[in-house]
Amino acid sequence: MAPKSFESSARELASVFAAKDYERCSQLLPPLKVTLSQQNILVPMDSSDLSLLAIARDILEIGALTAIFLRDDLLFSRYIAQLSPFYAMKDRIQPPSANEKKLIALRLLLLLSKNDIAEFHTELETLEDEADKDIYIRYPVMLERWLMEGSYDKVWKATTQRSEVPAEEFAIFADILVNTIRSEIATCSEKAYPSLPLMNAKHLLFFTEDNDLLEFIEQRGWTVKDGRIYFPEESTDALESGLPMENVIENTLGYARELETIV
Amino acid sequence: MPGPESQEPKVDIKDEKMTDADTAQKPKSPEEVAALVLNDIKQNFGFLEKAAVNFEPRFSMRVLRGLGNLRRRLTPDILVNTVDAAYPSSSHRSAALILKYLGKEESSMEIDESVSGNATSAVLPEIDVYVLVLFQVFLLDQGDVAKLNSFNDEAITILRGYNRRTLDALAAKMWFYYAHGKELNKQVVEIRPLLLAVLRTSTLRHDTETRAMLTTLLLRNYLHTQAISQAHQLVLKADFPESAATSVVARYLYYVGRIKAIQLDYSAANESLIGAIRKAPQTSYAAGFLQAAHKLKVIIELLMGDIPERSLFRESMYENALAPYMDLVKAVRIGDVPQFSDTIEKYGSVFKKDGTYMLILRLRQNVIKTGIRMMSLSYSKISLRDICIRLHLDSEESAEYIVAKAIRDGVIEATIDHEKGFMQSKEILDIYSTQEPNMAFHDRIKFCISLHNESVKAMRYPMNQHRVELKNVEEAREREKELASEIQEGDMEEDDGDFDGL
Repeated sequence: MAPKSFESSARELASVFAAKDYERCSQLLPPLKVTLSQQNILVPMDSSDLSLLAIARDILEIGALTAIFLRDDLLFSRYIAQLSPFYAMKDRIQPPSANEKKLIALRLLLLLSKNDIAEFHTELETLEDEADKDIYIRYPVMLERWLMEGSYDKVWKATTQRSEVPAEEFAIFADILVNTIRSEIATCSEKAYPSLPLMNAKHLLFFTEDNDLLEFIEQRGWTVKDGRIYFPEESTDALESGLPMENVIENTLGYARELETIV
Repeated sequence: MPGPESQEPKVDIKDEKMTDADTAQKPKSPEEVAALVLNDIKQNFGFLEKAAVNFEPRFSMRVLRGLGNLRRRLTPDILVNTVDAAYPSSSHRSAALILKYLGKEESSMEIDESVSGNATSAVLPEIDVYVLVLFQVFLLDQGDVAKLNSFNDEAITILRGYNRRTLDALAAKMWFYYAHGKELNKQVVEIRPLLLAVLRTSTLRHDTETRAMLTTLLLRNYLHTQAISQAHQLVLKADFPESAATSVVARYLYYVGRIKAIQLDYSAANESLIGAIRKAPQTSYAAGFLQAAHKLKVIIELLMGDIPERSLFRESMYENALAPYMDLVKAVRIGDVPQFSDTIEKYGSVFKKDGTYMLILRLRQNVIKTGIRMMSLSYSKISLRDICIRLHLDSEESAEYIVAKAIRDGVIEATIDHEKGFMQSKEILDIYSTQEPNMAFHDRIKFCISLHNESVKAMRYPMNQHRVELKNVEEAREREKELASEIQEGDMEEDDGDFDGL
């Protein structure tokens, strides 16, 4: 295929994406990727043509963003994986990508929403300095920090209020994050409060409707009495004192065995 | 050598003029020094020959241990003499290579010969590689990185032509300097395929030293470019030979500790680092490594919630290097968030250089947790508002959530009363009535037992002596048997003689 039609289909894709017709985008992408691999620029190598690499990268970025809007996590992860060799060569591909930071931030946010903290930190290590300076990357980094600390109100504000969110793609993760926060707060409340009035619970869990709150309570298995929520009691220690005996016996037998081997 | 001998009388005369205290330090003429160094090198050649003939890695290790001492005394002249001593003719390709880089090419005739001359059979490969390593070290100390790199490329080709197990320790050293040279030249990523290929070959050949060294070099390579997941994959897939030299094992454990710390596996990281510190030589020669290892260990201990001991920071070897870390520990111990942020600001560049900056950022929640713990221990009842003020948190709501999370994580034992807005600490349990002392004892006993087992496994018996003893015993037994049989035959013959006499 002549490069001309390849570039024109790239332009077509860009215009369809700008028009926010994501379904159409996802249909256009696979044949484009085939063309890319035919031109030997799907995976950037030293033999690839540098000028075309920029176009390939832009196409893949559009693909990644489409996947976000279509809420397809796997597809998004795949596009990001394909994009990483492009970013590794970023000094040689001109012009530099405007979307790079945004996509990296989106990936971090995805990991955070899946609670994959180890991967999150691994990715973060590769970004050392930029975490504080870039507005896109700062978002998931601050979110993670607040989540770890436990200042859930800040997380709530950051995800739900439009003014805080740097780009609309991030808003898509809002639902998942809100659910995560809610379950975290619920677990904490179970341990921390002996009992809680309903009104306060609604406020703490960021619910607006009573019905939502009641549904949630049923889901967690709490009991409601006189407008207060009572959390299930923890199992008492009496049961536990029986079990450690096994441990002690096991350990002591181990010591005896090792001591016998000492000549 | 005529030089030193003619100088001797002069040195003696000087001697008589000096006081007794000075006689211990006779000024040596440069030729004497050179001769001494050359003697050392020739002695090492002898050791290497023994190592090759007897398959004893001990001798190669001994030679390599002397490398640090030798490298300070090398000069170009000594190297030329070494080349003369080691190689039968300067047309040998290694000899030609070294002479070329020394800038002492003899003549164009020699160069023509070197193209065709492959007189490798006369020179022991161990000696060949040893001389090449000496030259690598010399170039490195001179600071000429470009020369070092081009020399390394050619030296590596010579090395890969050999396939002898007795070369293992020396080959590992050569690879180390190769990778080091490339790192100084910022050519880190390009050598990865080569290192991986050589790792595969050395694994096939059961070449433990080279394998261990290459795994470590690859890990360092990946960590240099922050390719942590690749490093992690390497750790998972490539078995590390534990029987390699302890210095390499120590380095490997350090890198593994770093990878694990980044992946939030703090207890495993701590264990690795403790192993690394223990295996490293405890002398001042390993100061750099020990300092780096201790820095990482301090951070990991903080992340696990323990406070490192103050005595560590007072040791002379660590005082300067670990000073920023001591400030950090102070801030975390008190639980003061603004002080923590200030310390990070102040020493930010130091931490970034050490590669611990990202890990330190994670400490922020530890500071807050410690602060909350202090509160809960010192107050039986404290209002959320006061907590908010003392910990410099942003709002009472955040304070409430943070305290709730701390309770859930088991940092403190308390309950929150939401309506009245205060936190009430629970009664402090008598710790001896729980399982805690039992578990602590169990850990210590387990550690002592494993130490004992490892020491038993590490005991070394020199193999030859055992064989020699056995041989002696067997010979003695054979001789006895012969004697016994001779005596018996002798008796029988005498009897026959008697009969004949009849």
